[in-house]
Amino acid sequence: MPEEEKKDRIMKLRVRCKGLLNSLSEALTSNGL
Amino acid sequence: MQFLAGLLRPGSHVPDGFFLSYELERVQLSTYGAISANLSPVQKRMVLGMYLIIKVIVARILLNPGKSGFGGGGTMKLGDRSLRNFKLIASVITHATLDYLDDITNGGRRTASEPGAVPEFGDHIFTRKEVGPVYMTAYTVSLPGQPPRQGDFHREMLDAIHALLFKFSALVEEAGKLIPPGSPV
Repeated sequence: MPEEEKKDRIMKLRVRCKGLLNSLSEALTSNGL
Repeated sequence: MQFLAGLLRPGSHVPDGFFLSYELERVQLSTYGAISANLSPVQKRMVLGMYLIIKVIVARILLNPGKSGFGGGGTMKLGDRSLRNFKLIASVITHATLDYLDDITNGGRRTASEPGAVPEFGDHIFTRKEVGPVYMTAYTVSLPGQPPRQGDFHREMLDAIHALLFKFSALVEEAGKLIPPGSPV
């Protein structure tokens, strides 16, 4: 896999990891589950 | 929420197999499988973190994406690349959670180092070394018109987990207040 594509893929995975945790965190606040 | 709040009280009986080995090493249980002493706030956060992140998000959802509604709710078969991405995300979140929990329960000593960070997961998650390029590598952020800055993904993940567990612990504590005093544990 070309270096640029690899970097791009890693960044996307990172965004998903953080995004998942942050979304859940936000949901806990807004819904008061 | 009330189930979790009840579970964290001293004397409550933990369902068989509920605690993973990581938790069993950090919580004192009686011979009969009951929590034998008051859990410290840090131990409570660990139990809640292991439940919400490791058992629900990772084990139930990310490691079983087909059954969790991804891929058209089972109508489409997820490709190898999608499955690998789910496994990568599950692995990064697992290692970050264990790192965070090691920080708060163990003074930062890494007990969750590979292999077998969560022995119960077997090879369903990637090792720390395998996720290294995603998890442990610093990166450079370049935004137009701004000087490039260094990002630290590992630190950002620990902060995100801290924020999530802080809120979750507060909600469970609130739920615990709704349990009538003297109710069976």
